[in-house]
Amino acid sequence: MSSLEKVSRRQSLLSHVFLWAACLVALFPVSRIITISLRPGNRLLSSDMSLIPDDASLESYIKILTEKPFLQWLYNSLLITVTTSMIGVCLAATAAYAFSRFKFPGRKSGLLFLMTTQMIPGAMLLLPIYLVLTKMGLNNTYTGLVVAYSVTTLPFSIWILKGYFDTVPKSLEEAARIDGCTEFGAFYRILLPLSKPSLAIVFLFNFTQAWNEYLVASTILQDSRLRTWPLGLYELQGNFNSEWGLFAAGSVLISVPVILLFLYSSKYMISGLTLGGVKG
Amino acid sequence: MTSLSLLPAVLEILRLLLFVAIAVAGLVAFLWANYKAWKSEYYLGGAFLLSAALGAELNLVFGFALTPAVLLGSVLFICALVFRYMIRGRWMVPFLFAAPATVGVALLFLYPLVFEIYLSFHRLNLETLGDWIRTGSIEFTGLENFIQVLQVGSETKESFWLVTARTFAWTGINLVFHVFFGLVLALFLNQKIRWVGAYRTILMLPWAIPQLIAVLAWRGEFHSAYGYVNHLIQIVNEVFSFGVGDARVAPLEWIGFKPQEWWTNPQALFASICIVNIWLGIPFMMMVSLSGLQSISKSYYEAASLDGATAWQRFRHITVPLIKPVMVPSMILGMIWTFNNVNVVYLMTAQRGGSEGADILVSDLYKQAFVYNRYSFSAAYAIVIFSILLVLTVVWMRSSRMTEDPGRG
Amino acid sequence: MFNPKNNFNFGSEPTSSGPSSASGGNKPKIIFAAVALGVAALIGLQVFTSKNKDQKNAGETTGSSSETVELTLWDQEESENTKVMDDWITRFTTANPDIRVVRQTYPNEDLRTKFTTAATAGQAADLVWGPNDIAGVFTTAKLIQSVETFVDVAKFTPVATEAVTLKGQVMGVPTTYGNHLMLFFNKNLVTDAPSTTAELIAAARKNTDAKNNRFGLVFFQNEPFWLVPFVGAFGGWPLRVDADGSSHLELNSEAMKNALSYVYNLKTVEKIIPKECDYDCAKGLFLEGKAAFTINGDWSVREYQAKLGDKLGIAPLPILSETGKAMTPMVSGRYVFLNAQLSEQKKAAVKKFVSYLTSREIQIEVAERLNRIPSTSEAMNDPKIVSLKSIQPLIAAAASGRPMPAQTEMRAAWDAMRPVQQKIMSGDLSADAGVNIMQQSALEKLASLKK
Repeated sequence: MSSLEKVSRRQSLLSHVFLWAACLVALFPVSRIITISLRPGNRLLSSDMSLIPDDASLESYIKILTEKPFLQWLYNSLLITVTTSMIGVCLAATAAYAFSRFKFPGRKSGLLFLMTTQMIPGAMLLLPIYLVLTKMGLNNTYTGLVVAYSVTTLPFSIWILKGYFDTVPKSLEEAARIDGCTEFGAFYRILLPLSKPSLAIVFLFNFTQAWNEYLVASTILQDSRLRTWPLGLYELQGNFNSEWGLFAAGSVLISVPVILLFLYSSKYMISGLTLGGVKG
Repeated sequence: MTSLSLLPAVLEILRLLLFVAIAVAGLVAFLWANYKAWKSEYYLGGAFLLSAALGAELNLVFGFALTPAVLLGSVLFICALVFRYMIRGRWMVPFLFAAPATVGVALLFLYPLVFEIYLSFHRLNLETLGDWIRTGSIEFTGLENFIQVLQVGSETKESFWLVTARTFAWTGINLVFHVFFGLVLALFLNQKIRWVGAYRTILMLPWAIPQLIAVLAWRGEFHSAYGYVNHLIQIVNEVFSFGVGDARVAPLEWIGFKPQEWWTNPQALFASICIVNIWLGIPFMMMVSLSGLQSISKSYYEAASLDGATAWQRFRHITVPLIKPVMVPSMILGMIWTFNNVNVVYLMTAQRGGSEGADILVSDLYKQAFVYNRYSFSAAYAIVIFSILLVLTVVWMRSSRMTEDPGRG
Repeated sequence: MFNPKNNFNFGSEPTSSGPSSASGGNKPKIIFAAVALGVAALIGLQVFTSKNKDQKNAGETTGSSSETVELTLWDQEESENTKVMDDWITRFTTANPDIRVVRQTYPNEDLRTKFTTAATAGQAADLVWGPNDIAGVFTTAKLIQSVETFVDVAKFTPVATEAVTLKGQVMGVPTTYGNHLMLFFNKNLVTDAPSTTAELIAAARKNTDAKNNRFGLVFFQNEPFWLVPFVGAFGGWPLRVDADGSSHLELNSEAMKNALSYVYNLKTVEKIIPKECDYDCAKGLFLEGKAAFTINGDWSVREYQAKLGDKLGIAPLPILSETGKAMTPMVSGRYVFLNAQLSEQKKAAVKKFVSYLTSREIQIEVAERLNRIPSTSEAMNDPKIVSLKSIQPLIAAAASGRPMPAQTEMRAAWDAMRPVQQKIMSGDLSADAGVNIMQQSALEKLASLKK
């Protein structure tokens, strides 16, 4: 943050006012979820507009933890998400290395294809992906979901990592190669440690994608023991008798770990978000 | 009833990791072996034997039908031919590095693409579904599905062109607001003031909160009687109103700023979806802009200040050109994501009692495929949507010179 | 095109190091290694997939000593009801140790989507426990089969089977009857149930104070399901089924027009309902004691009772004063649908299971524990049911109802009615013009299902 200008008093005041207002807007729905989660019963809508309802209670929180397999959902999601992120980062990093450091036939068209995969409407992929995974015997398994997630996030991950790798000077790896390092060694020992911020971003991106995904999960999973939290929370909305209190309480509990992860990785966020061109 | 089952999951994940490791190792070893052996005089013969063995194994042991078994077996042999006559030992390292991701992407992107193209020229819908499952064959219909997609609508059915126009409006509005607010916030955050870290953290919340949760919470706020939005509008109107005799006049109401029936009025619904999606998307652009701003060296500004440049001039002539390389790819990605954003629109409209007047292309597509089971129609629809987006992106990338031929460099 | 001269980096042909030059001499060895590796990979693949299969088939028909048949059952019930269903299943499998029943719940529309998607890969459930409107869609897609060879359909009440009869075939096993709308009232606000709409409006007006968020009547006013009772009272019905089994949409009827104007007037002229109110809003207002009357289905009885206790009144929908006819809610129920592709072994198990679900014992529990109307004549005449106080108001409310059509036409009708009804309710469209759009749109949707 050294490259920042000194700020005049008036400008500073203005900034604070503006940022405060922006923060209020950002926080507004969050506060409402908390309000609903504190209401006893299952009222989503109430004419009561106060932030903390008069009859506030932790009933919904206790209910969701004791009466619903909430911890199981959370556990499933966490397991799937972490595995997805790990595999996704590994596969994306090696591919991005190839795209960033080497010239080979199909490089440019490969990069363009990765870009075009982002344009395929998600609904279009759902049925064929389901059919492929079922043919592989991965229907109704964590494995199927992890495979689907880690591959569908690959294109974006590769782009981010390639963009970052392009900014790391090649000379370091070349020096290592001269010292007798293998290609993989140069990649693993030199480039990866230097690219931590972007690896963190890609991990985070994979994490949020897998953590929040609903459609693919609902198509692939059947067994209620395997369900992830979005499926579980969606289920709470029930047919007509939505359990909104439980839904909101679950939402609060689920948002906490993701928010913490974001807080932790926000220091990488600024330096890691680099998207290069195809040119590279 | 809420007892946890922890162990089976861990075991499955371990097996999965093992599987992925073996698959990646197998793939790399396979390519490596080919690279080592392609010059050998026994190479093609060995490859032929192996591919025959694979075909036989698939057919006899795994019970594949003969045609797919032969096809899969010959893939191996075709690989060998490619290694022998086209690759000839070159590009070993990049190919080994890129292979695992390529296979994954081909399996879960390329195959679906081919499958959908196949579907779009055939007839698979509710009526033919059962027969297709049993027999595996469906009627070939040529371009019929595409003609259906592009048909002009009637009084009762929204035309494809109207939905397309709305989608463009949706994408444009969202992108403009995302970039504008993202950049403004980034400029504020890129100053030496107190609590910048805290502000940044809070402003990232809309990104961090799971979308399903955020959207459903917002939807509740747009309820005409019990949501906070109308409540706020009323308060604002009261503040900005004045009395004329007994009546109170609120000038803001004249320009349409008044409580709306957000859920039922299609225009209001569309506006509410835009507001929600703008709220959701600002943090990403903010962080991208911030990373762009922080990469600009301070010396440019110092030099400009010495020359007596105003703040606007500095922004216009230093900031904008220097963050453009970071912003343009993100904006293109942002455009694609907004264009393809089915989640927000679907959750805001299609839940009980949703309105059709606010659908964009992809949410309409989702409904056609999974609510009405029009698989072939929606395959054609998806291909049309994909083509629109492809053209849009290519035009933008060309005009911003993101792709330059590396050969010319 | 790619130019090999640009191959300046390490890792390309000329610079590839050590191993390649060392291995130059013994190529046969490498071939051997490659073949061995390939074989090893194939064996590994085989072991892996067979392992997977073992795990999946554990407990399924393996033809071994126990010969257990596994039936999968998918439903969309709420958690309280699924607990009861699990109890029934446990009792059934204890009595029939050779049968396993695995039950899964899917929320809302997911059940239908999930079943059709899973069917494309042959992974769909053997049994589906769901509402009757599934029947039309699944029958059109040939995903379910007639139940007449599995159970004696004569044992059910005729109204229960009528809601799943398609082209003369009963396509689902009725397990419960009902799912119909009725009138609920808060005894703190009103003392008696009105028998006509004129009485209802009068009582509702007294309890309306829109400024303070109090309303006489609340219901899901933009949803066609809530409109249909009014249509019936005006002498119409969305679908006409002829004697030959062919069905015809009748959305542009005079009755539909009248019903739409009537509900619109409740909002704009009588002003006894809120400007905008969906399901959750209606429920919320009623439970908070801010609404005197509400129209809702039999599924909400338990929740309302838990909140309001003996202050909850339940009555049939009133008689429409304008025509003198009773309002006619749609009645259906829950049915068990059978996958079109059941093996012989499973068919026998399914037979046992559905006859268990429709036995006297379970049917009485349907009323006692699920608070729904039983589907068999035997149970309906049982003294236990006749004297069961909690179920009698539901039976009374169902008396004026009509079976909900299961034809695919109905699906098109719902989807066509919803947006138009919304526009009419928000005042953007007149009822006269609206009904024609409904009809045309429904016909188009119906045609498009076949394209």
